[in-house]
Amino acid sequence: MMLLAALLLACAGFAALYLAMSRHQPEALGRRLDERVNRRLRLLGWTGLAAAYLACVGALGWARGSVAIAGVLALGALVVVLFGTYRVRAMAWLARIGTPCALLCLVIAALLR
Amino acid sequence: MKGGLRQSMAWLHTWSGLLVGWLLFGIFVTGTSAYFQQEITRWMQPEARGQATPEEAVHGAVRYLEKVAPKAQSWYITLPGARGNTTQLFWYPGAGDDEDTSAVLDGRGERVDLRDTQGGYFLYRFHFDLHYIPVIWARWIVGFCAMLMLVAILSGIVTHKKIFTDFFTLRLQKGQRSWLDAHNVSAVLGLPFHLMITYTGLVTLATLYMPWGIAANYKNPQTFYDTLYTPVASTERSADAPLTDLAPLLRRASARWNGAQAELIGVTLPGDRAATVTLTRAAADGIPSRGETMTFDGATGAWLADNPPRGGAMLTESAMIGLHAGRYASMPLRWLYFFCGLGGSAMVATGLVLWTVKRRQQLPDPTRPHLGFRLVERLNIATVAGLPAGIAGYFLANRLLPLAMAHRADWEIHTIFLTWGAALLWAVCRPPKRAWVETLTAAATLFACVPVVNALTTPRNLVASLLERDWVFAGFDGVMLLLAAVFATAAWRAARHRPRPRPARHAAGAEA
Repeated sequence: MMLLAALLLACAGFAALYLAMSRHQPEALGRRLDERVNRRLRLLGWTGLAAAYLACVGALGWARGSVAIAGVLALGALVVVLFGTYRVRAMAWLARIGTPCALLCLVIAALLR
Repeated sequence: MKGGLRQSMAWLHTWSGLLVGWLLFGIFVTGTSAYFQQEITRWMQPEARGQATPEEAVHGAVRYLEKVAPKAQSWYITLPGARGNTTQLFWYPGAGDDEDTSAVLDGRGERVDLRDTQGGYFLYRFHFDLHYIPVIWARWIVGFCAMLMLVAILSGIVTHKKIFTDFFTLRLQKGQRSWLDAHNVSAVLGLPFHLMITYTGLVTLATLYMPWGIAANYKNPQTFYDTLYTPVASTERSADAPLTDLAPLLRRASARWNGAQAELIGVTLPGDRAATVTLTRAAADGIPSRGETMTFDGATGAWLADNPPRGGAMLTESAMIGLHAGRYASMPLRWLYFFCGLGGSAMVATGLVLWTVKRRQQLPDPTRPHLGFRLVERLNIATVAGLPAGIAGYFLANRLLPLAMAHRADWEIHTIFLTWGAALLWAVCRPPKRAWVETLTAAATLFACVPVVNALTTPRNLVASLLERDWVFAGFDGVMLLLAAVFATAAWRAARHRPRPRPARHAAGAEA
């Protein structure tokens, strides 16, 4: 469950980083964003990735969590790449929905304990 | 000057990758399957069912061994662990014992007659020992491939101009551009894994590739290994004494290892006063692959020794091998390993295809390519579609070959290479495009047949497995269907593909 949360956080984080790149914005959002907004998106994105790492560590401990994050990031980035290729309009939705879903997973993980 | 460096790196990347690409694809694919080695073996031995606790298993094993090999020099008992469901026994027979030296027991300690197969173990061994050639040659060849892989990865990083700008970019229906994107995405997203797996892969056989450290310091290399690993105690039998109950020893070891379980039990001189029992920690319970050991007196059960203390170098090596093999990984982490391995296979495959796509445009006459081009093209078809088809054939042979057949396990393995060879022959004889479509279709069909043939030849079909919550069998069949879908999609795409007219003047993008 915790690892699923990590994956969702990675997806949300990468989606935010994707949207922060001005070359993707016309297709994904239909307009270009302000550089200030871009910076905020980048910050959010990196925060999401860091949170994914913490969730991995929470799930498997420092040693195994540090291995798992490599796989989680690869999988999360692949999800974003596939969204970018096939469902680019849904990218903003992925960025928004990822974190709440991850939080839900964390709550369920805590309840299952 | 900067362009010069990048161009020479691009050259290095292209040719180091191409030279070893085909074998590397095989190493990557079979190595990836090895993350599910035990699950594959369970699927290939459908006779074995049930699960046992370690204590039941060890009691069953000792009961069996005392009956069959009471005077053996040594016994080795591998407990089922979390992922297996059989207890494996090996022994060095003493005087008067049968010739037999191994057996597989079910949870209750009864011998099970399993079909003759190497299971997932063969795919695991193939990824560094290959087949049909001496093991040492194979390891040198594989090491050479891994070294060039490392070269290709590092030069690829230098060559790739826009790692961050193109991080998420995968453009479809753009010919060469799309292949380059796919190659970049599979390489960049999995980069930490690719670097780790290649480097640690070399470390696993480092003492073979670089023996000089040992040669310079030890007259006899065996002294070096004996210092590192507990040598087998070989003593004469003196007087009979019953073997102590092993279950309490398992509990003591587990307590000492903070709850980690013992997996391998070695008993020397069973039934003698001088017997010793050595327990080795399960690979699943720690990242370093060489588990801790504890040795007990086999007659009294008294603690004798822990494993020899380990230096930093040995622990590092052990952790790197552990990281490579992932035996410590729990199921979710194991799936991540598997996914990254598939990503690596895709990286090699797209790289191979990219070589031809890029050069086809520049051929003087695309309808009559030169010999080198034709060779690469045909080998690509034979490898990328043929090897997976061969693996599907391996699984089918496991279900279809008669159980009583002589050398059955060998013939299962021959099936891989017969299928693979057939794909090569097909690729040589047919026009390339047709060959791609046909071999990919064949691979898809073979994978799709695996669950069907399984359902026809065993009672453990997909529906029954799902109802019984048998995730090993259900998961195996599911992965086969997924692979069938992947190859079918690839075949469909290849069939629909229309080569685009050669662009008049194509501005070169990122080199690959």
